[in-house]
Amino acid sequence: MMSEDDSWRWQASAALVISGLILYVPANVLPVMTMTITGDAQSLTVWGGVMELYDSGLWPLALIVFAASLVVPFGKLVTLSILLCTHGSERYQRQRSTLLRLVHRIGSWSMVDIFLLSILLAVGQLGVFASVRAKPGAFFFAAVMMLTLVAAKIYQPRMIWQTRHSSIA
Amino acid sequence: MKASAITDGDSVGWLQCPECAAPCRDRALLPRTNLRCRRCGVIVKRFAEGRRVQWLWAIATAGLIFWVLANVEPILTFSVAGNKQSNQIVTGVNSLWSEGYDSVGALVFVGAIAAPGVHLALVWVLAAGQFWPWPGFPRGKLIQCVEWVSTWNLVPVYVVAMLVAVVKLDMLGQVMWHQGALWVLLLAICSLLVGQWFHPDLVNGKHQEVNDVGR
Repeated sequence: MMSEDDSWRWQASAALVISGLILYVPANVLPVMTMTITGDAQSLTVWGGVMELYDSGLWPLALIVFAASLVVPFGKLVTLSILLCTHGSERYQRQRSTLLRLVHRIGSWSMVDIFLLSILLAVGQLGVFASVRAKPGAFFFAAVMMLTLVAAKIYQPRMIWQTRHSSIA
Repeated sequence: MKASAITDGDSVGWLQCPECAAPCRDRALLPRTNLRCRRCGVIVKRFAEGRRVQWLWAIATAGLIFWVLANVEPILTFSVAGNKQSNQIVTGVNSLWSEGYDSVGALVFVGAIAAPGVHLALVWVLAAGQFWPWPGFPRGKLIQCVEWVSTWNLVPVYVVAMLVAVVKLDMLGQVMWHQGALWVLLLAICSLLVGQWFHPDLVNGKHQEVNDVGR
C-alpha cells in the first residue's frame, strides 16, 4: 500500500496534525495580546481582534483577517485530517489532490496575525499612554501555523495516488 | 518540479505527471493554454511565450533594492498625546524577542526579512548565471533552494498585516505612513512577479527565452 520510505511521511504528518488540533484550542481561547491605551487595558483573542475590526465598520478588512486567521488554520487542520484518513483509498483522488494543492497555496496567510502583532508591538511602546504586549496565545497561534505548514509539506500529493492497486508509484 | 520526458522509442512524446506520475501525451501548446494531467488535473506544461530571463533578472534586481530600502526606512509612526514611536520591520522582531517570544520573533524574521532577501538574491544569481556562466556553478542546488525558500517569502502577507495594523492603531491614536511602507509594497509586488516568472527551464543555462515550460 505504501512504499517503505513513505510510511514515515504519513505518520509524521498525522502526528503534526493531531498536535495542531490540540494547540488550536489554546491558540483561540487565550488572548494574543493586551493593548493598554491611557490606562484602559484590553485583552484581545484572535476572534476579538476580528470583532474589533468589524465593529469599526471596516468589514472587508475584518473578513480578510477572519478568513486568514480563523478559517485558514481550521480549514487546513480539517482538510489534512480528511486526507490522512482517506489515505490509500481510490475514491475522489482527483478532488483530494486539488484540496491538498489548495492547502499549500493558502497556508501561509495565517501569518497575517503574527505580522500584525509584531507591528503593533513595535509601535505600541509609549509608556503610560499606550502599550501593547504579546500574550501566550500568540505562541500557540504561531505553533499551529508552523505545524500545519510542515504537515502539509510532508504529506506529498503523489502519496494520494499510491494505493493498494496502483502500478505506478 | 519539472515534468520529465518518457522516451519509449515512439515518435509521440510522453510526459510524466510530476504529481501522480501518470503518463501524459505531449503536444505543442496554443497560446494561453495548458497541458493538464488527465488523471489528477495538475498542470504538466504551460504556455509561456517569450518569457525572458532578462525580465526576471530586472525584477529581481529591483526587488533587492526595495528589500534594502524596506528594511532601512521606518514603515509607520504611531502617536498618542504627543508621544511618538515609529517602526521598521526589524523593530517588531526585536520587541517580540525582548518580550520573551523568541520563536514568534524568529518566524517574523524569517518570513518578512530573511526569506524574501534570500529568495530574490538566489533568483538574481541564477539569472545572472544565465548571462555569465562560470564553471562549477551549483545551478541545480540553487534552483532547489529557490523552490524551498519561495514558500517562506511572506512579504505580500506582511502588506495586509500593515493595512490591518494602521486601521487598528487609527482607532487608538494618530498613525502616519512612511516611505518604508511604499518600499514594502513594491517589494511584495516584485516578490509575487518573481514567484510567477521563475521557472527552472528559464535558468537552465541553455536559452534565454522559453515558449512553454514544465510546471
